[in-house]
Amino acid sequence: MTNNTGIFKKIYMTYIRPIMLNKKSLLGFLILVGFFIMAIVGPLMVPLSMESDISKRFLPPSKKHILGTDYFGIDIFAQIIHGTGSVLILAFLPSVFAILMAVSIGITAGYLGGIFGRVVNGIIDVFMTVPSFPAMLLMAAIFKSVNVVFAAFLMSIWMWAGPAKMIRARVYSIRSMEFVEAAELLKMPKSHIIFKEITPHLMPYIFMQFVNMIKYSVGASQGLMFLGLLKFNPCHWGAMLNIAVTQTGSIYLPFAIHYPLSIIFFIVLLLMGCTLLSYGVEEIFNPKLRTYE
Amino acid sequence: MRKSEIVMSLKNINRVFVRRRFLRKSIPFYALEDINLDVKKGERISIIGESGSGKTTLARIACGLDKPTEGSVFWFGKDVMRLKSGEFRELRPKVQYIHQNPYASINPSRTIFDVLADPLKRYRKNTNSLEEEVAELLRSVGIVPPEFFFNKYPRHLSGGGLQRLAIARAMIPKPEIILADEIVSMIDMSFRAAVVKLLIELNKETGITIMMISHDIGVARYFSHGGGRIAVMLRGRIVEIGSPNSIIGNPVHPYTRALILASPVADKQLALKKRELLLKYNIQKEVWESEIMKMKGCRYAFFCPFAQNECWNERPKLLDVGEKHLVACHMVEKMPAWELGSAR
Amino acid sequence: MEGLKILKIENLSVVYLVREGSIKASVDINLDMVEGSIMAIVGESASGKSTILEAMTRTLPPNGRIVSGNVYYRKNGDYMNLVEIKEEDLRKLRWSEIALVPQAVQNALNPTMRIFDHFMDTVNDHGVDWLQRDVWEKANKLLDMMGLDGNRVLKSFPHELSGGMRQRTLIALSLLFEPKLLILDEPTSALDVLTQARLIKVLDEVHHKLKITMIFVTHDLPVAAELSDYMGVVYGGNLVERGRTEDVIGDPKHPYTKALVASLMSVAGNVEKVRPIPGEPPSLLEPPKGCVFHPRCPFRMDKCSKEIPPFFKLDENHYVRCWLHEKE
Repeated sequence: MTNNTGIFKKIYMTYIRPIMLNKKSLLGFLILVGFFIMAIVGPLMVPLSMESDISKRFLPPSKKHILGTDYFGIDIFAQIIHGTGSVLILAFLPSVFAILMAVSIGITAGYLGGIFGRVVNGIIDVFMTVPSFPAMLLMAAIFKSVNVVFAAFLMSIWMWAGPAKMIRARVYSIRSMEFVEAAELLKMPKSHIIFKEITPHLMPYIFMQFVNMIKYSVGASQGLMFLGLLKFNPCHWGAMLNIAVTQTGSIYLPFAIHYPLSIIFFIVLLLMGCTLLSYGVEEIFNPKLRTYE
Repeated sequence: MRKSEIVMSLKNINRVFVRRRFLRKSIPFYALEDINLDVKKGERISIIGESGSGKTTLARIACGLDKPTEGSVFWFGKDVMRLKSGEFRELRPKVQYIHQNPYASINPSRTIFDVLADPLKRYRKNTNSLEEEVAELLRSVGIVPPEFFFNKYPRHLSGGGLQRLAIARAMIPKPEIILADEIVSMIDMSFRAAVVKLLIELNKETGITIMMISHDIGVARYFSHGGGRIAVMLRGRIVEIGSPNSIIGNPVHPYTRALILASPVADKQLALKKRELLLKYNIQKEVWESEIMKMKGCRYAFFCPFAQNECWNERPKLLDVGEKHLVACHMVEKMPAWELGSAR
Repeated sequence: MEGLKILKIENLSVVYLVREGSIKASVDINLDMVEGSIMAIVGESASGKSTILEAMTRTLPPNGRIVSGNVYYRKNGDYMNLVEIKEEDLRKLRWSEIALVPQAVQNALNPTMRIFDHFMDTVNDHGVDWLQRDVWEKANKLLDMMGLDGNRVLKSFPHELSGGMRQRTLIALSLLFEPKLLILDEPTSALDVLTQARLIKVLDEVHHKLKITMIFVTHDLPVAAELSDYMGVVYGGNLVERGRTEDVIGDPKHPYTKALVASLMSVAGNVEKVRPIPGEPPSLLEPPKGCVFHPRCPFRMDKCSKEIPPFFKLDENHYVRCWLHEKE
């Protein structure tokens, strides 16, 4: 069982099967895969013309325009599809950076404790209290326009602090649990205790933090666009929503309500996909919930 | 006769917990007072006591999970507090502790295989494959067939099975002393005997020294039978210690007698007889904890029908009443003969 | 010694519905309670013993279902089927005829209310119009019967009382309306040995003084042996043996009961004869075919793994569910 097929089987059993077998998480997974395909294939299949045609303003959903048209007469569905890629990158990338930072700093500070823990706690507090908007304003002034990856990194700087603090608190309480004590009695190395004993208990919690960050990123990334830090993409859903709500008054016009609603629908669908997936993630790390074994 | 080696020694151990109160005088809680105990190599010693007796604190201090406020703990003749970190790291795995709650002391997110494989990777000699060693270990504690349980999780085992797994895990670093802290209290009756028997067999086969902490005298009697000792603790002090024959067959301290009489038995006649006798050794009343703690004398005086002035004022010392049977009681002479003889 | 049957449980089967299927918590339970006696139901955790209580008092969790069977309770000469009667009728029975004392370990007492308030609460819940003064007096008397200082306890909050005191308070509370049948769920678990002995004594005295019928569930065989007149042994959801306590303990007929008695570590008896029971408990989700104990039974025969044994009558009160006793 120490050959390669054994390892793959183990990965399948531990990480993939729980997600597939849990109906909710399977649905979530399929939704996310759908979005992924939408981002890559969509723009090739659905043409987008950004030409404004006011005579076609706020057309309701029809066969020609699946979700209708917006203030400028441009097909909403096409915009959403073309914006998917941007949204996904700007939602996931900063969240991934932020969660990695939060987890590594939070767990080590929580487990090692002592002076190190308290110093780190102080640093976390600093990042938590600095307001993100003025900070981003400052960054916009310093950096002008940047590429997506760097922008994601800049966003993550202001996102990691809160979760890190909560993770640290959780680790603090797990630290005194008996199985950790048992591992310490056996003089297991600290790296083992942190990664193999404590982290699995935190994973569902970490994943929920991750989903929260995605929620935040969708909004924050469009903020960056308006600040000029990021290249403005009118198809980014956050940007679209901003335009729909504040600049075109579509929420006041009953016949135009399909415009903001369709955007909101997709944003919610993305978040739901992540949340549903988290049910499966919970089963990966909390085997007690796996009822089929 | 060869003089047996002392593997663990507790000298003058005191453990005080101070509860600081805002703007008021702090209340000290004496979890352990003046504990002196020498544990011989290969011994099966039981510590019995009710909740609040300090037995768990004793176990944790003895195995290094807690530090005494005063006094010293010696492992193999070395003072644990004075060890350099290198020496401590070497000795640490030789003294293992098994927790009361197997559902908490074994990580529920790791498979049974991993629970044993992780420490095995650290301690094994590389002669056999990892799977064979894990299987061997599972077989030695009666979890069979081993391969069936490899990718199962702890929740698939009963409480008794989990404790046996915990024992298997504790044996991996080849310890010389094991402290088993109330390991059967949380598991069902029909599995308790199996777990205790496992430890007895381990002791007989490998000569490992085991200290069994329990509130159940029956467990102590079964475990220490055949050459072991039983120590009775009350509110932080050892009040009686001796062989099972002495403690169960001829208890002297009124508290020990009360514990034995109160211990339920599956024989209605005997139970009724014991219930009547219990009144002779135990006055039933409620007393504040703080009153008991403030007391300078014997902590059983509140409940003892034999208590006299000296009992309230002076703490009794452990005296030898014959055959290494020690009792801490001022009224030893006045104790009537033990009514139950050697209970059959 | 026969007597009037105050409670008759016939062919009771209960399941809990879960995602993976159904947990067969009680399978074909048959039990009779003689009025004025004490019966103990002995079983390990997850053996289904608490399920019987829950089914009797209709306090099953939302996923519990009574699949079949009846529970007849005798009131004023007539038998009513507790499984079928309407909720309002059942509520009238609760507390005034049948009282349930939960485990003190569970937070049965509200930590923000004084003990006297608990008593008043119970009185008000039952729409009975008693004056506070009368309730105080009655509660005081009951608490005294329990060996507690009524005046002090009534004024205290639950956390100010020790575990043993809380358990006794719960029992006093349950006796408020002078029920005919008292049901106790694990009255002695989590108690120290001395406190436990005291509680057993109190229960015995209450039983004699009030002539109340008691049924209690426990995993502690010696406690059951000391306190009860009749005993039922539950394993894997099945009632495997029942009869007079001295018969069941003194000369157990079912291999599980025999093994259980032999595995006890006690202060009396021969230490050398203690025999552990090998194996693991059965899964209630997928119980073994045939007799539920057969995988661990040293006497198993071929038949045991195929067919579930019925109850075989050994004498007037002693029943065993085991193929070994087929001829008798």
